[in-house]
Amino acid sequence: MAHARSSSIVLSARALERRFGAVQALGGVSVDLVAGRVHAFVGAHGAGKSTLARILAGVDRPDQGTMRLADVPYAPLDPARARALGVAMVHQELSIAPHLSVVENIVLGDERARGPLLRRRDEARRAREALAKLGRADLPLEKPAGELPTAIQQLVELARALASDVRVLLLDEPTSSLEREDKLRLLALVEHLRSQGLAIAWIGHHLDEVLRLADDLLVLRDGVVVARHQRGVGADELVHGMSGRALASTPVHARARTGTPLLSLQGFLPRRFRAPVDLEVEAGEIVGLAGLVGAGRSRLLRAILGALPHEAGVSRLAGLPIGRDPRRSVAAGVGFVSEDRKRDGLCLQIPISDEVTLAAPGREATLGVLHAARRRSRVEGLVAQVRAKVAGLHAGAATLSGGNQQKLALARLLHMDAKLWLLDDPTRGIDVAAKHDIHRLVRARVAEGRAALVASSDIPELLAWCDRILVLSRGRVVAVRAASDWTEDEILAAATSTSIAGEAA
Amino acid sequence: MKRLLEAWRGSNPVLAPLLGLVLVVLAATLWGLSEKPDSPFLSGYRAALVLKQSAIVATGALGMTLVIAAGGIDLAIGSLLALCSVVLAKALQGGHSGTEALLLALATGVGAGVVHGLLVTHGRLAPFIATLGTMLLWRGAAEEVSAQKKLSSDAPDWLASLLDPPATDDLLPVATGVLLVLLAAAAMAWMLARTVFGRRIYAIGSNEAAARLCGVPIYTTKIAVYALMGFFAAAAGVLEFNNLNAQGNPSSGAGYELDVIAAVVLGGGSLSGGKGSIAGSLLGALLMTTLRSACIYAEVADPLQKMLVGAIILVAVALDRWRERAR
Repeated sequence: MAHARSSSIVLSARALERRFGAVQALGGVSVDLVAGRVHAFVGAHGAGKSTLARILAGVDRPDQGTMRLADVPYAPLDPARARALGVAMVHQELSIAPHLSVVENIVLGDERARGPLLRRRDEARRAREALAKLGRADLPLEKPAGELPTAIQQLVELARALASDVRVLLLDEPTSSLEREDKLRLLALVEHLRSQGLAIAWIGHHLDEVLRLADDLLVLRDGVVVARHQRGVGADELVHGMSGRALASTPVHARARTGTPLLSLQGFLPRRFRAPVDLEVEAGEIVGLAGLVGAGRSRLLRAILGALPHEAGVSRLAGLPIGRDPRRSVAAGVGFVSEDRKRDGLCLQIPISDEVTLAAPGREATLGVLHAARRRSRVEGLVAQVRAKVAGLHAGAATLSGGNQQKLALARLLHMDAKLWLLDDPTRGIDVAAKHDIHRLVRARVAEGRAALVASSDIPELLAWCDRILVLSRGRVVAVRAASDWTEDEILAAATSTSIAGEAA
Repeated sequence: MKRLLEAWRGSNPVLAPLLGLVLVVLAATLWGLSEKPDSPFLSGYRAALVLKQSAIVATGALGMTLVIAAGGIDLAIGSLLALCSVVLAKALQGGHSGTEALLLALATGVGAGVVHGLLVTHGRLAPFIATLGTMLLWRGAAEEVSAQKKLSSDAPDWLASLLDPPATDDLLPVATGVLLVLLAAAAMAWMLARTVFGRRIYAIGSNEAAARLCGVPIYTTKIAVYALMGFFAAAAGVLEFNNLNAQGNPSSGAGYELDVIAAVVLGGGSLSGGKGSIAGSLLGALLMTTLRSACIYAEVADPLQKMLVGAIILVAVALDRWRERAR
C-alpha cells in the first residue's frame, strides 16, 4: 500500500491463494488493513472479494500465503478464534438465529460463562454496550431477533462483531438487504467506527457507497489484484478495472423488427421492487436483463411467469393476461428456464423423455394416455435439435453436464412451443461450446416470431446476444437501450449506481 | 373473536397445552356431573393414575425437547426403551445387583444416543433417516437379548416400585418415579435456560449456519443432545419395567416415539427447530394422558378415542403454525 504507516497496520496478508475445485478464487492476493481506515474490496461477481474476507475472518483457510495480526502470525482455525483475536465479520446473508433474543444473538459463540453457567446480567451489559457503540442502546434486548425488521437484524449482527474487542471489522455487502434510509445510517455508522480506530474492510458493489467510504480501494478481478487506488479515484477508472477485458465479441444482430408487441408490462411491480416496470417486447426480439445480484433480474422473470407475486400493474402475452400463476402462464405460452437447475430448473431424476415433455405432456397423449412411440421420436428430435448429448431417454438428467442439462431445459420450451422465453442466467457455469449452441438456438426461434427475456450476469454475453438491454438496480429499471448503444463499462456503471435517471422503455 | 385471535398470536406457547388441559378436564367434569354423579372425574385416584401414565411419556419428552429444539428428531426411542428394559431384566436375571443392572440399562441408552449423535454429525445422515435405521436395530437387539420373550426378574424393591402408589401417610401423595421425572424436568429446564449448552441447543436449531459462523461447536453439542435423549429413553425403559411389574418386554414402546413427539409439539416445540420448552412438553404429555383418561371415563370407544387424539394434535399444531406465521 502507498502509505507507509506500517506501525498502524493491524492485519496484513501476503500472497493468499485459494482454489475451489477447478476455480482459482484467489491467486496470490496481498493486503494491509490499517487502523482508522476503510478498505474497499471491489470487483465483479466472482472476483474473489468475499473469499478474501472469509479467509481474513477465519471462515475459510488459504491454500497458500501468510497473515499477521498486529505483527504476530495469524492463522485462525475458525471464526470464533478469529473473533477472539479481534477480527470479526458481518456476512452477506443475515446470520441471525431468529428464535434467540437480541442479547443471545449478540453474544452467540462468545458466551464467557462461569463454568457451564451463563452470566446473563453480564451478557446484557455487553450487548447494551455494543449497541451503544452503534447508537442503538434503545433496542429491545429480550425480543426474539427474528421478530425484528431486517435492518435491525443487521445492526444486531454488527453489534455481535463489536461485542468482542474488535480491531478489524469485515463487512461483506452489508447494505444488500437494506432500504435506502437504513443504508445511509449504516454508512454513517461505519464512518463513526473508523474514527474510533477500527480497521474496516468494506465489500460492496455499489460504487456510490464505496466512493464515499473508502480510503483505500483494492480492485480484484478473477482472484488477483488488478489495481490499488486511494480516496479520490474516479468511478470510471474503478469500473474499467473491474471489467478489464476488452469486449469479447462484436454484437451480431440479424433482426427484423416486426413491430408486433408480444409481451407488454404496464406498471408491473413485482414484490420488493421499488418502481414499476413498463416494457414492451416485440416478436423477434431478445431483451437482456443486466444488474447485480439482488437487483431483481430473477424476481422480474419469476413475476412475469407468476411464480412470484406482483403488487401492481398488468402483464400480457399477445393480449392475454399472464403472471397470476405459473400453470396458466405456461398454458398461455410462457416458457421459463431457472437459474438454478438443481433447485427448480429440472427434475433431474425423472427420465429425459418426461423431463422434456413436462410442460406440455398432453401433446403426445390422447385422453391422458401417452403415445410412447410418438413421444420418443419427438423427444429424440428435440434432443438432436438442441444438440444435447445424452446417454438415453430413460435415464435422468442428473449425471449430465450443466450445459447438456440446460439444453434439455430449452428443449422443454421447444416442446411446449413457448412464445415467450424467460431465461434466467441460462449459460451460467456451462462451457463455451454449449453457450454458443444456446445463443444460436434462442436466436433462431426468436427469429421465427417468438421473443425472449434473458437475464445474465455476463455483460459481454448480453451485448453480443441481445437486441436491447435493460439494466436493473435495487428493484428498479435504471435504463433500457438498444444493445449497440451500450458499452460494458456503461452497463456496469448503471448497475452499480442508483442515481442515474431511468429512460423510457 | 378477532381480538381473541390477536391475543393468541403473541401468547406464551405454554398457554396452549394448558388451555387444552383445562378444557379436557372441564368437559369431562361436566359430563360426569350429569352422567356419573357418584364418581366425579376429578379424584385423587384418577390424578395419581394420570400422573403415573404421564411419567413414561414425559420422561421421553424431556430428551425429545432438547432434540427437537436443536432441529433434530429421534424415531428410535421406542425401540431403545424396549432394549433398555430387557437389558435391565436380563442383568437382574443374571444375578447382577439392582444398581449394576440400572447402570447397565442407562449406559445402553446413552451409548445408543451417542451412536445417533455420531450418525447425524460425522455420518452426515438426516436425523430422521439415521434414527429410522436404528429404530429397527435396537428393536432387533431387544428381541435378541430377550430371545423374543418377556423377561421376568427379581428386582429389589426400590427398583420395582417406582410407579407404585405411595403409602397413604407419605408427605407427598405421588409415586417416587413421578417425583424423579419432575426433578429431572426441573434440571433440564434450568439447563436450557441457564447454561451455555442450553443456549447452544436453541442456536443450532434456530439457524445452524449462523451458529457455525459464530463458533458454536455444532458436533459436540448435537452428540451430547442425542446422548441425553438416549439417557431419557433408558429411564423411560426403567419406568416401563416398573409398569409391567418388573418385566422386560422386547415389544414395549411400539409407537412410543410418536406419543413423545406429539407431546413436545403440543407443548410448543417446532419440528423445524429453535423452539420447545420443558414446561410445555410436560403439559403436552399430561394433556395426552388426561385426554385418554377422560375418554375412558366418558366411555368413548377406543377407535373414536384414537381419532380424537389425532384430531387434537392436528388442530393444536395447525394453530401453532398459524401463530408463528402471523408474526
